[in-house]
Amino acid sequence: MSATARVQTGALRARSSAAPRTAARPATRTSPRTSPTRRTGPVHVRPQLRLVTAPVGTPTRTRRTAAPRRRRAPFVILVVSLLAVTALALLALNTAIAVDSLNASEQRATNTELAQQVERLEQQVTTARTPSQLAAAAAAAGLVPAGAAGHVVLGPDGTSVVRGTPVPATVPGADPAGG
Amino acid sequence: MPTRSSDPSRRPARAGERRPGAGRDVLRPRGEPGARRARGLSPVVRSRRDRIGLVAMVALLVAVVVKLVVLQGIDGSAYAQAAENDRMRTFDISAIRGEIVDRDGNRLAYSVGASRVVADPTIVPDPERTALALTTLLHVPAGELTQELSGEGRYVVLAEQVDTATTDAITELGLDGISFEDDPVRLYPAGTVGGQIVGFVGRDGDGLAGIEQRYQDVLAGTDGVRRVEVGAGGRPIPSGIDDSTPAVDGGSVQLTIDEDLQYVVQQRMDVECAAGETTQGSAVVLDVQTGEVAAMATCPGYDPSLAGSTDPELLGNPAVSDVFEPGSVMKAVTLAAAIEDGHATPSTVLSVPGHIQAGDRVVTDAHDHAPIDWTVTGILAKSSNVGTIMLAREVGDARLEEYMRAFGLGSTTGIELPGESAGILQDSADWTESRAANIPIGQGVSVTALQMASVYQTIANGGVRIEPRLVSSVTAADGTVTQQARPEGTRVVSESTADQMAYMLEAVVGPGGTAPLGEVDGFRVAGKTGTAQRANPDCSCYAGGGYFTTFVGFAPADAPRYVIAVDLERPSSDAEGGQVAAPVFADLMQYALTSADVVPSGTTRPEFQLTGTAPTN
Repeated sequence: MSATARVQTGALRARSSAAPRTAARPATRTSPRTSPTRRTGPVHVRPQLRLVTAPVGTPTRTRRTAAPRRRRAPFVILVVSLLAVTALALLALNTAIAVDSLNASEQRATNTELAQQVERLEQQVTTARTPSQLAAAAAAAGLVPAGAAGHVVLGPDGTSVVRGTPVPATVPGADPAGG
Repeated sequence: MPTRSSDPSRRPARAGERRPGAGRDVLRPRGEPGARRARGLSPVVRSRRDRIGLVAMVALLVAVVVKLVVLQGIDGSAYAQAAENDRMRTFDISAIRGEIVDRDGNRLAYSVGASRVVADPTIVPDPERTALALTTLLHVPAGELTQELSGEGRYVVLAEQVDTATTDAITELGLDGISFEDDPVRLYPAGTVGGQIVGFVGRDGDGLAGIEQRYQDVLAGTDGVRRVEVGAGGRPIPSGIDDSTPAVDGGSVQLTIDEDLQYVVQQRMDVECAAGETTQGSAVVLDVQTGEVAAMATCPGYDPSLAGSTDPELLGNPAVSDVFEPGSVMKAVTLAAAIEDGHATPSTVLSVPGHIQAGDRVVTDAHDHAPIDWTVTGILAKSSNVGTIMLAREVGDARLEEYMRAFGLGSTTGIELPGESAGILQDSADWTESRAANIPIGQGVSVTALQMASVYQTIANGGVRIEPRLVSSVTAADGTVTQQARPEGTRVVSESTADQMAYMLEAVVGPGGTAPLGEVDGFRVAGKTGTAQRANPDCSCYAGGGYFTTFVGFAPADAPRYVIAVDLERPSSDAEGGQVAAPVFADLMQYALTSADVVPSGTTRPEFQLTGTAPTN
């Protein structure tokens, strides 16, 4: 950009030194209209400078510079609105992700909480079902260890025999040695 | 850009831009003050100035670009890492140690998540108030907590292995500077029951005894790391970076132990130890068909959860690690050898004198007597030392040693417990004449209770010995179950010999035998008593050392289900195995058979011929 610019300035300077007044006058006149083109740089300004010597050229230039202005507006609006929509969509998406992730971590916490609760309950069950706890609970309920068992064995012909000698249970608490 | 400042002809135009009406018809439009001054410079000076400006700008730009490259390209990763480290926090995740369960899946040892409560004293705003809030929850004196919380460091441990209910309550309080770390706690719900088998873990969670030690690799699991992005308060950002490695929990070990039977055995042994004269007692229950250990208990036992405060002397498993001289229970091995080698049958009659010369010593029967014509059954039933030595001499030392080793004496059984003893059995070549007379009757040879049970398992199982095993399966964290390989059975004696032994051992419990107290109501029982002199540790002699009384047997004799070996160390008593150990055996066998729903066969015990007429020779 700067290279092109310098070439142009060189040309301008050469002309201004030869006829400074003629060059300055048209430039002054046209400048308000060219102002929108300033951004695009002197590339566009230069042809105007050449044409300035003929005063009739002015209306043509006005039409030429005004036309892009009208065409550009919808495009700019489109770009800006696209940008805005994208930004809003991103915001919405990010919010949604954040909400989901908060939900997820909340549910994870609940999950952990419940898992711990299960663990605690299981622990109670495990402790309660150990033989010593069961024996204590059974004794508290008035149960006594079973002695020798008797078995009634049925023969194929329907007869039955008692094997082993069933022993009546002892009085609760009388025999700590149990069975 | 340089065009604007360097072009004087453009100046008026620009000025005109700002004030459109003013400069239209003026030859020299007014410009800014700076522009007027610049117009006075010659083009050469201006061009030089442009160049200097350009070079300066480019130099600055290059400097910026270079710095950018250095920051982004060269040091980039380091800075990114530093930034990430600043945002990330690492929390350890402890793997939950695997369970140890009995054969029905009842937990003998398991771990639950718990926490270590730690504090950062620099953040704790009011140590005293915080201490007061925590003292009842943590069960630590408030003064101690205040001191900890007022300390200099940034990390103090307030309490360890705090359960989840308590940590939840602490979280509710919302105290600053208090946080939690994983610190799982190992629980042994059954306490003493099976404690010696299960073993215990040290403070760092590594197994130090029993199955906990032997299966450390399986049970331990692998710890994980939780690495998350945290916010200003040190709390994880929900949608932030989560770079975590989950912990792999440990596998479970299933034992062949029946917890209920184990409980009954432990209770019965505790009763025996509490009675006073028994200082130590062991009982081993084996499944005859599989060789699996159904129960194994010693009194005094220990509770693994209290291992840290237990006398270290007690933290073993004497049933596999302590050896004793078995005494007469060994006679079954001697007689099995004699029958297997064809030197005798149960009805062979020998004229047994009351004593026998063995080298420089004289071995007598329990009570010296005139020669009696005993059958071999009678020798076993009456537990005659002299008769057994006579038969052992028929077998020969080398052959007897072979049988003893085949029955598993003098070598470890390979059970899955640390510290197993092989017992002591000398080479027969080294046996002196007196030792050669002692070994057949169970003196001068040492065994563990487990080995003795294994000998009788061989006889009960038709002569096929299956090494005892304690672990049935291992379940990895992902649920894959690995059944432990069962040892191949090895035939030690023929089935016929085993049957004849079973027959003779039944006579021991029968009328005229040494152990009528070993009878179990309704069932036929085969077994053998043992009363071995105990070496007196004060004089390294047998005098005043008391006895090891043992009873090893199986039932039902006609279809054996369980083998139970009971040995009681009684330093201050001279009671015999038949009086002391046999009743313990009977109680345990009674429970074992009843709980296993074993129906008596209904057959009656044969009549035994204990005496006969010795052939005159």
